Formats: sequence, structure tokens, C-alpha cells
Amino acid sequence: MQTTLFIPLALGLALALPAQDGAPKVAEVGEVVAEFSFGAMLNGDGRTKISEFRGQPILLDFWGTH
Amino acid sequence: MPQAIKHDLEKRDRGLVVILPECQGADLDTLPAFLWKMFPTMEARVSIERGTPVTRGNGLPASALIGVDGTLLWSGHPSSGAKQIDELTEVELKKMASGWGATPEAKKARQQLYGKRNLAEAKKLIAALADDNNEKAGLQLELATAFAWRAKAVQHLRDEGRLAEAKTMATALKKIASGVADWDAEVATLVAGFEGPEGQSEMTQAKKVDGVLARVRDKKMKVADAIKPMRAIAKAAAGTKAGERAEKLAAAFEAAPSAK
Repeated sequence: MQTTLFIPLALGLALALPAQDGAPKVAEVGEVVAEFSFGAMLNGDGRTKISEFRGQPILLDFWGTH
Repeated sequence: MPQAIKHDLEKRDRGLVVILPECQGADLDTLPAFLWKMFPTMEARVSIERGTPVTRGNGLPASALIGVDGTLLWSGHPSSGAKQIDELTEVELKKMASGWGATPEAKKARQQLYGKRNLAEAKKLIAALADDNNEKAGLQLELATAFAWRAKAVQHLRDEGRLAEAKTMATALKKIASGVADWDAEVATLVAGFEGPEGQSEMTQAKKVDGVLARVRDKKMKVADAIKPMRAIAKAAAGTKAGERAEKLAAAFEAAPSAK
């Protein structure tokens, strides 16, 4: 099994292990969100990784077009 | 979504990042037309959801708030958490402005890095931290990331034809990273990219694109009425990134249902 270590967001030290399928562990409230990428974005500035937004609060609003 | 858009409009200048992941299979090629129809004043980031690793409520809509240190602070249905989202966001924006850390020195470094956005000063403070300070390595990584994304953003915005934003970013980076030998040459190259007659000519066209967009977003021009001026800019700026952007926007306006 390939194990990937995700660069931590908190303190730059804590390590988050991925789930068995290789996807990052889903964070519960109070936990540090593991590194991941949003992919391409509209209206963005080229930042896609969650670690690149460190230092700013992020409000995610999941929605659908249908 | 309307509440998140409101947060974006009201708090983006203070540092809040609003991201709207679409979860029902839309793609980034067709999404602009939908957005210009439904939310013409909206400027928040939109992504295609592909497994954001945060817990959230069942179904849509759903929201999640991530703090300045990467901690998931809240998740659930946006209407049930409106007050909490407001309060927590304010706490985080204050934390961003004042810095945080296990030691006063680390807090001060983050205040410069994130609150004052002074990368050169943050670098000095981080360098001065004792080697046994548990946060030093993390702060060095944060500083490197803060410089790297800004440098990358200049190129990204140029590639998208958003030249005025790219130049603003490059100029700001020159100011906040000034005097750091590791960064000076890279920043000088980024800033120089906007000089010269060709660059200035494209900038003029790019600003015209921004002008039309501003009129649409300020509701001074309907989306349908913006097609013609945008096509004219696309023609005048043909062969440039600004021209490509104008053409894409004109096509999105045309495809927006309200334009038909």
C-alpha cells in the first residue's frame, strides 16, 4: 500500500495519514484539514492547494447547478 | 450560496477566502455562462468539487469554515449556522491580523506574515527565532509558501489576461518582499514583464475588459449589453491574453440564458 504523508497545516509539524484508498482523511470539526487541491478555479489567483491559503479563513459553500 | 457571496463581498478585503465548489457535475467551460446568468455580481472563487476532505451535512447546500491555522471550525447547513459562521469568521480575521503562535515571537512573525503581509519583515523575525523554537521550521515553510503563491499568482493572472490584477500583485510583492536577496531577482523579473510598449498596449485593452465587467457587476450594464463591447475589445486585442479573455467572456455572456 502506498502511503502518502501530507504536509501539515498546523504548526507545520503534525502529520495526517491518508485514508486506505489514498484520499486524504476527512476532517471533523476541531481537526486540521489534510493537504489537498481544489483543482482549477474560476475567479482564482492560481492558488489551488489548501496550504496556499494558510493564514486566511476559508468559507466553503458547496452547491449545485441543478 | 447567496449568504456566501455576501460574505465574499463584505469580507474579502479583510482576508476572508470564499470558495464555492460545484457538486453536481458542472464543468469549468460551461459554468461561467450559468454564473453570469444567476449571479452577475459574484466574484468569489468557484471550483469543481472533487472530494474536499471536510465533514459536512447531508445534501446541498452545505458549508464549512476553515480557520487561519487550517483547522475545520464549523460545518453543516449554511442557514442553520449563519450566526456561528459570522462570529467564527470575525474571530479568525482578528487572529489573522494579530498573528498566533505558541510563543510571542511566533505570534509576531505571523502578524507580519499574514496580518501586515510584510514578507521581508516576517523573514527577519523568523530568522531570529531560536533554533530550538518548535515553530521555526513550520514558519519557514509558511513563509516560503506565502512568497511562492504570490509569484505564481502574477503569472497565473497574466495567463488569464487579468493584467491589471497581475501588475497589482507584482507591485505589491516588490514592496513586501523588498531587500531579500533570495527574492529580489525573481520579483524584478515579474515587475519588468509589464514594461515596454507591447505590455502597455495589452494593459490598456485589459483595463477596458475590467471596465465592462465592473459595469456589469455594478448593475450599470446588462449581461446581454456587454457582448458587443467585449467582442470589440477581443478584436482590438486579438493575439493577446487580454484578447483571449475578452473573447471567452463574450462567449459566456452570449451563452448566458438571459442574453438570449
